[in-house]
Amino acid sequence: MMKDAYVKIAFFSFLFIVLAGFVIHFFCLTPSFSCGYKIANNHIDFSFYIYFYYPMTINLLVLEENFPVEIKKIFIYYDKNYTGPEKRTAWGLFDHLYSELQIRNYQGNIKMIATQELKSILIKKLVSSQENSLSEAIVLNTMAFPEIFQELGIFIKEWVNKGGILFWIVGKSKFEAQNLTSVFWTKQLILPFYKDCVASKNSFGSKALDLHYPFIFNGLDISMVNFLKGKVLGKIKYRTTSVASIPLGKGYAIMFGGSMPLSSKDIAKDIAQLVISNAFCSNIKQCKTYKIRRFKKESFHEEINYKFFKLNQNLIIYIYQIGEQATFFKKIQILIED
Amino acid sequence: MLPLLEKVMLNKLYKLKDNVIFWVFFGLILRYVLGLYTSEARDDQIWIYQALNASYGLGVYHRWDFAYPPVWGYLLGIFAKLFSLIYDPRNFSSNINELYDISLKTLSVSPITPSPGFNFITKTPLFIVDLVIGYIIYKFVSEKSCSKEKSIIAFNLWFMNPLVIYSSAIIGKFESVVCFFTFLSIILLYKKYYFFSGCTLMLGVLTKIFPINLIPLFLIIIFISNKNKITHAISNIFTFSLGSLVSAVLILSPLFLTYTFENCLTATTLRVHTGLIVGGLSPWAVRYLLGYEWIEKWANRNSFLIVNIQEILIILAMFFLLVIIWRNISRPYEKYLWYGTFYILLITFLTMFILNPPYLVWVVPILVVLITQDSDYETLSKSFNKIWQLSFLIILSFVIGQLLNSRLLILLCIGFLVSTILLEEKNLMAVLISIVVSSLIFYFSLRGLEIIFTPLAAFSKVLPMQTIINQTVSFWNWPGLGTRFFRYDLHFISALLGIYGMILGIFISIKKLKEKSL
Repeated sequence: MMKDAYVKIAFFSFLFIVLAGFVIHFFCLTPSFSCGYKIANNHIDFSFYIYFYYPMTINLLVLEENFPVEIKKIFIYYDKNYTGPEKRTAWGLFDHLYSELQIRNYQGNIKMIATQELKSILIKKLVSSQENSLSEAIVLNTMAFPEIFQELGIFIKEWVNKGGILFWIVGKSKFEAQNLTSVFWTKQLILPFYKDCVASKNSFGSKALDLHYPFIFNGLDISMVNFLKGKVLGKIKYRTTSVASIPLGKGYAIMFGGSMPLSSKDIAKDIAQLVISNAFCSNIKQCKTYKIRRFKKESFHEEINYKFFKLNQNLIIYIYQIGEQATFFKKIQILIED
Repeated sequence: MLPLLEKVMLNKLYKLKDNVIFWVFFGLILRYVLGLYTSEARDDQIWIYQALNASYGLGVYHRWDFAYPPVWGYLLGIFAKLFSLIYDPRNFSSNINELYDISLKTLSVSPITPSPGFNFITKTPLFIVDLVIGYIIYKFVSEKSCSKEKSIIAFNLWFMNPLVIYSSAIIGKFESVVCFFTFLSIILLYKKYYFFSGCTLMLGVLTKIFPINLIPLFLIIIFISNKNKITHAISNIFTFSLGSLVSAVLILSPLFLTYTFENCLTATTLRVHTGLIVGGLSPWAVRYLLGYEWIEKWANRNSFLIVNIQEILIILAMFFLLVIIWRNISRPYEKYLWYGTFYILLITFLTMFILNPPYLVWVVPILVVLITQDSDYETLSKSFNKIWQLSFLIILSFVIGQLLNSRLLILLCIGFLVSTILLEEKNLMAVLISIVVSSLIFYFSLRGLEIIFTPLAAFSKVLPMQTIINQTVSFWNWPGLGTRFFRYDLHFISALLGIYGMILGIFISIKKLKEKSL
């Protein structure tokens, strides 16, 4: 039977595809990584070893955690009964965020919620008398806000005040964005742009965290972000940034200065990076970039000066791959004790 | 001395033309020349993500970038994984900031631009598949016709077909892969290798879901070809099904073992759940006309209804085919196999919610085989030349029209092309020509001609990026005559031409199915 050329072609192409499937899924030369640290008088000797089969660039971040943060639940708001992002954009954000968090070994839950569930989440926290920790995050898109905000704006603000984390994609409309942010802050935070609304220059935050979201349709005024004791985390252009984290009571509002249609994947990656590193509420103390060559056993040594850190506090070392579709992320927590 | 040398050279060249090896090399070189510095503006981003995932050790559905069945993901992934051992995956693409503005305006251009190295990785498997299909056509036609010339021209009607070259080399679509498995499955069924036929058809289904429509026809044909012995018929149907099953299990098993099968199911049905986009060369192209823009929004909200209508129409068309076969059951099964498959594929195209022009590549090998059966060498040769002449005219009209900023010139050329095709004899060659021409017009009018050269501008100094952006923005904003934009006019005209070709194909196949002769 195999004498016929057609059968041979069929057989070998079939074999090739089957083998390709198995090789892709099971022949993963996963990177070798190990690390260790020694606490000396006023510094930590941190060393790590790495071996990869493809070249890459990695960042090492040292972050000081102001207070313990662990986001256990992330809710993405989408309700088809209200104006808002298209269904495919909202689900795109959900799917991308889910996979980006999984790849970063996230242990919490992520869920899509509609208006009714949003209300109950807000009310649950507001009526709770417990000391609130930063354990819940909501992702909201401004395009959904006008109707929702009339009802819930003040509750959302109170929810953040009581320790909620709000990821807020402020949208394209200047009028809506300015009106809505005024519910949160008395001074105007938004600087709208209609042309050249893509920022490409890195801020310290976006470079350290490799954040990609570039849009500044409703850019966040950097001087206002600083005035509100926030952090500039996005790309910058003119006097604005594309992403900023602003403390509000016991919680944080992390603002994205534009809309989603083109960038739900970028937003998802950036949110995942912020959730895992806790950089939206921590101070980045050190940042260093390393170039890793393929098939080379590379070992590095980093001296972390901890005399500036408060005692009995967590220090986070976050080592991760830079660039599109990165898959290598390691987070090490060290408790600074007396 | 010089004229003699010239004569010898010309003679040699003329002889080379009759050698299939010459066309193989010429076709491959042409593909690499055109393919390394061109790209499709949107889908390439997905291939880049997929290639990076595979290189970095992730499976096809670990991230939510890939919304197709797994076979193309495997093919692309294995090439990317192997090449990434010698080529730095960070160089697969470059993020071109200048393209952000245009991508915001059009929502169909990506700033992530593939590098020539990445184009080599992603397009090489497509070129190999193109070549293998060409080889199968060449071998099959030479077996049937015993004519070397006819088999060479059949090879060229596929391998040197402007639509096939455009689809594989320029925009890097994987339609050739679907086409390869479907066509091979037909040939294997014709040769009565039932197990391998089932196996390859399932590979086609697991590349793009649509060849699934062929399964009922294939089962009927297996039954008819063994109608005198029911036990044989049942055993052969079982063998075919076993082939499909083995293929499905082995292809999908990596997904089961990595717990990503559910992601695969969700990703491949995602478009239905999150709202369909309708249009392309299908009858839904009516949405491009002024006053009919609401269709797009309506379709987006009624995705399930549209998919259900599509399924009902295909079932009705299959039932109609079954009636024809039943009434002419004594005729040889080969006819039902070729014309039946052709008929089902055309019905599938016509009922699709969005018919992207490269999909039409799927029917080209079948058309080539059917055309070579009916035509002599001279006619085939003339038709091959005609396809290229018309394709050149389209390219020229777009290049000069866009350079001179003249909609009139483009319209005149398109009008000439359409009337030429309508005046053609109503045969399968007319179907092939209208499919090729309509696809090219649609694709060139999708975003303008320049946008495919973004890798050339990004990775060489030959063409400034700003020129591409300016030309694309200007083309994008040209007001339409019967529609909102001029490009919509062209979408609509090309859709009409494509639909004409497909309906003509359906009528011819029904006529042939009813004829007594083979």
